[in-house]
Amino acid sequence: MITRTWLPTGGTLDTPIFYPRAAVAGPRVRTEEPRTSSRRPSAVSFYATLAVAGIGLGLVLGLPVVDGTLSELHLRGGLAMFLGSTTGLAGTYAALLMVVMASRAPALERTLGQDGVLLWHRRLAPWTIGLIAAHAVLLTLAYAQAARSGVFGEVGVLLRTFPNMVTATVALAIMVLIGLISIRQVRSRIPRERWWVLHLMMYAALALAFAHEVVLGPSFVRHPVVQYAWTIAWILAAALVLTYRVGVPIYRSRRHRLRVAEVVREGPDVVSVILEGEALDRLVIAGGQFCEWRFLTPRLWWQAHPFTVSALPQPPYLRLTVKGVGDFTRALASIAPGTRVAMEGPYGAFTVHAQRRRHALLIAGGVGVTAVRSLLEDLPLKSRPVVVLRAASEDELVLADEVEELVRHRKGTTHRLLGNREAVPMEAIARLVPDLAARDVFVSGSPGFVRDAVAMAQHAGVPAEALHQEVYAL
Amino acid sequence: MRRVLTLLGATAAGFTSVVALHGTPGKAGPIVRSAPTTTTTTPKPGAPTTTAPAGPGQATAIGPLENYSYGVMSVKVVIANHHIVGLHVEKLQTLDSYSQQLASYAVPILKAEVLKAQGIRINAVTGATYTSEAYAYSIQGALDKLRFK
Repeated sequence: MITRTWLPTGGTLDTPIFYPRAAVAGPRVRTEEPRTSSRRPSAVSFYATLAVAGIGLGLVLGLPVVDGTLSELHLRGGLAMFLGSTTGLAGTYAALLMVVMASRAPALERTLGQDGVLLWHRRLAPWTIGLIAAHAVLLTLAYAQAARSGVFGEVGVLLRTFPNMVTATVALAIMVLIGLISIRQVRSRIPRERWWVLHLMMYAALALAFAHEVVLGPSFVRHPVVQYAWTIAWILAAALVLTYRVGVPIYRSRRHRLRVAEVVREGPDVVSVILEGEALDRLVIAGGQFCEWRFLTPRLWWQAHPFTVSALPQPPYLRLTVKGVGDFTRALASIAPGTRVAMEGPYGAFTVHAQRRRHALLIAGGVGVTAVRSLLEDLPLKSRPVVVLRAASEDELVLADEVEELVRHRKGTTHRLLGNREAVPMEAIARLVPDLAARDVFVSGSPGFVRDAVAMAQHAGVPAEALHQEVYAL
Repeated sequence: MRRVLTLLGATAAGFTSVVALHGTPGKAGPIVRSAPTTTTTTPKPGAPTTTAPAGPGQATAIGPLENYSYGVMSVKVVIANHHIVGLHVEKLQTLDSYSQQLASYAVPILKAEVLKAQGIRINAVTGATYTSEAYAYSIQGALDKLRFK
């Protein structure tokens, strides 16, 4: 499978090829320089984005002050009414920001970094749900106080007499449910695909809640400017999501027309899926990135799975490598050649663009080698990378030959560490790589492995900005 | 730290600009009719709104149905000897029960004010600005029909 003469990038560097067996004698296409995505985030645009988000928050928080809710503080229930309006506005604004981030718009990813977008989305989530839940509780209290009635009775009154309150309550229930299943301890017990589908319901919840906001909110009623601005902001956010999460993936999937060419067994439970497609030289992807893949069979089409591209495209082929742990990844091993594949992405910040120093140390645990394998292709010749491949046993050391070859071309060193955690402690890496602290450290592997390796690197004095990680949650 | 300051600074800027642009309504101010056509729903043409004098020197008119977003309201006005002597809420339909309560709290206060001022140069009831406006505008509509000065 591995041929050493193929020059994929205009003859500047070698890479092992992964053509399907049947096609090894086939066309040897020379491609242009790989079109890699996403430069390092710029500080200026980061602060500009932060400022825009802050101004938006300020505008939203100003609304209950100017719409008269503040001047009613002394009335019965006035305080709860004011706080309820404010929390509702702030929580829904946080939801708007989360939707914008969920769009993974390229401009935003360039600014915040691809992992940054996801990180901020997660950081905002408890605020969104917490504030909106507080909004519902506070306003129920407020109306109960104003009407001098019981809180529980008031719930019924609110639902019966206020327009759009039933849909808003359904929306709240969905949001709270999604909040609960997203708590780490709960989430880890739910299959990833199921969690994902439930989590998508958030869009429905936000749509259901919209009507009661503009019809009942004191900041909106009789304030057409606020109504229009709010509506336009949400339409734009929805357009971003539809464009980048639906439109672009459909466009790319149709353009590249990917089909399964061959499924290759790499090791125990590890398979590579080689895809054949069109115009892959035009696919903007960096080594170390992943895509969300959909295998379009009647049973599997509805699930999208993040699998790392384990080599840069070698038109007309593209390869992803997967460790078979879940039902899906096991089903993948028996997928028929010719099956059509849809893609979304590429995503991921575990790329050469994250590098801050001259030289890199790449540490791969188990199947984490896939990201390291393709990232190596983006490292320049003579970049002298040090690669540590870690596996429990020899046959779990997948793609090791390809990695060694790529490292050799870059005048670097490969270390194979075999054995369990007790036999080969993480500190062994610090001894193997004396200049560790002066390098960028890329770690990919299981959550536990990445945690230990990052702790080791931090202990050795690698600063946070030179530490890059890709976690394979299995 | 710099991030937090940027965010806080921008939030303060956004907040200040809303408040500065709009102005804070501290106490409910005097009712001033700014754009009468936008809030008035004129009664059906031909509907008898002005009634014959009920007594000597007395005249009655029902003001237009005012839509104030949380509900609709029209007020019947009785004048006698060039004085406003009677005010009755002819029709009140609110969006929700809270607005209904607010109206029942505000209307007696407003009624007293109008009777005292003999016109709608009154202050709105705090917390019921829209209700106050609707009440006053409907009265003004009725007074216009009665050619009350």
